[in-house]
Amino acid sequence: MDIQTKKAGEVIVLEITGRIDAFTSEKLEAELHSIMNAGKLKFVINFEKTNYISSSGLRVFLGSHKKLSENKGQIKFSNMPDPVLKVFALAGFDKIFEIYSTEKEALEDFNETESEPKKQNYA
Amino acid sequence: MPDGIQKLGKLFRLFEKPGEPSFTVNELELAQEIQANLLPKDFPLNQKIDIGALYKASKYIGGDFYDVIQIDDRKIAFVIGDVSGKSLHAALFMTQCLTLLKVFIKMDLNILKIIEKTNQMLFELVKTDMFATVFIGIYDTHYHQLSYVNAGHNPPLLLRTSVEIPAKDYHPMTMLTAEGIALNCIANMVLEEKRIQLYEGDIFLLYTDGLLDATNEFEEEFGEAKLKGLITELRDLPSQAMAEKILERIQDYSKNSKTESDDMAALVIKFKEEK
Repeated sequence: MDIQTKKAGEVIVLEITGRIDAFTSEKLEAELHSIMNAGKLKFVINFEKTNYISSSGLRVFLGSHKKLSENKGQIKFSNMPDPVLKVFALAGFDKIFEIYSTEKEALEDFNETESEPKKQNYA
Repeated sequence: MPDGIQKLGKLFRLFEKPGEPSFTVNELELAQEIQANLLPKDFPLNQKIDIGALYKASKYIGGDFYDVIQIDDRKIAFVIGDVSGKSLHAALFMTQCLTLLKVFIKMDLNILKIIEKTNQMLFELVKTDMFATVFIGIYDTHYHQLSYVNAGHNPPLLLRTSVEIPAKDYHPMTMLTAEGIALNCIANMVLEEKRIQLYEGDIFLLYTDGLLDATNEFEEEFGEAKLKGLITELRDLPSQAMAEKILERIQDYSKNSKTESDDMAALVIKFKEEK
């Protein structure tokens, strides 16, 4: 598993390549905790290149979600391939996590919740 | 809160500190024995229901659990669950979940209340990222109806063997899905309760995802389709023989796998003719 980290304003985006399982989830957890301990509160996890996730992976995200919620932070998810979405949905995590089709939509949602009243979009 | 549950909470918090302590093989074997003793050995109401079980922890101790609990002279509960993780931490959380579920089931509460109260107690007591997926079914042997809830667990399989039932909802193989979320994720959960009519000869398989996730030497998962095929093939065996054969076949499938296997647990339940 490989983690690419980038910044989008105040939001930290993590792109995860490969498998998130009982072994690699420890590395993922360490990375998330390290960034949170540096004071970052806004995360988007991009799953475009993730091909597998186990319950250990879900546990890392649940733990991050709980920790961030206590500190008024947030974690959002994007670009889930079907096998990954299926694992989230089976555990019911699609009901508690914000899951977006694209990274752009997830980042826009962070911006919208902070900005002035929304502009109208006229189609 | 019952004293036993408070003590279990304190014991659990010992393992929340970073750098989990290492344990000797003897201590792990003891934990394994404690866990094995939590799982039922004999099954009730055996003149009406034939029950078999399989259980295999991936290491000394596991996060999977199951139970069969007689509520009164006509109602029986089936439980299967899976705790995230494979550590001693997960095993302790598993014992906590199972104990709470058993207490609320024995109180003969409504099935939604059982799962909601278990979740509330866990969320209050266990401040951790651990979660557990659980399926509970309560079977009424008088009306032959099964009520069930599913908190994020793999939907059990129901294989109908009679071809003569004219009911509209009759399908040869059904997956018992219901809306829900795993335990210890949110403080207040809302789940869906469902009911299904059962008939003589129906075969019910509750299982954990370790059965599906077992991989062969080419890293191909055993999967749902093969499991459905397997229970269809083995349907004429008594329940315990069926459970043992399922374990044997999956272990054979994954014997050359490069990936470490997950815990596996299953209950095979056959509904007998009412005499």
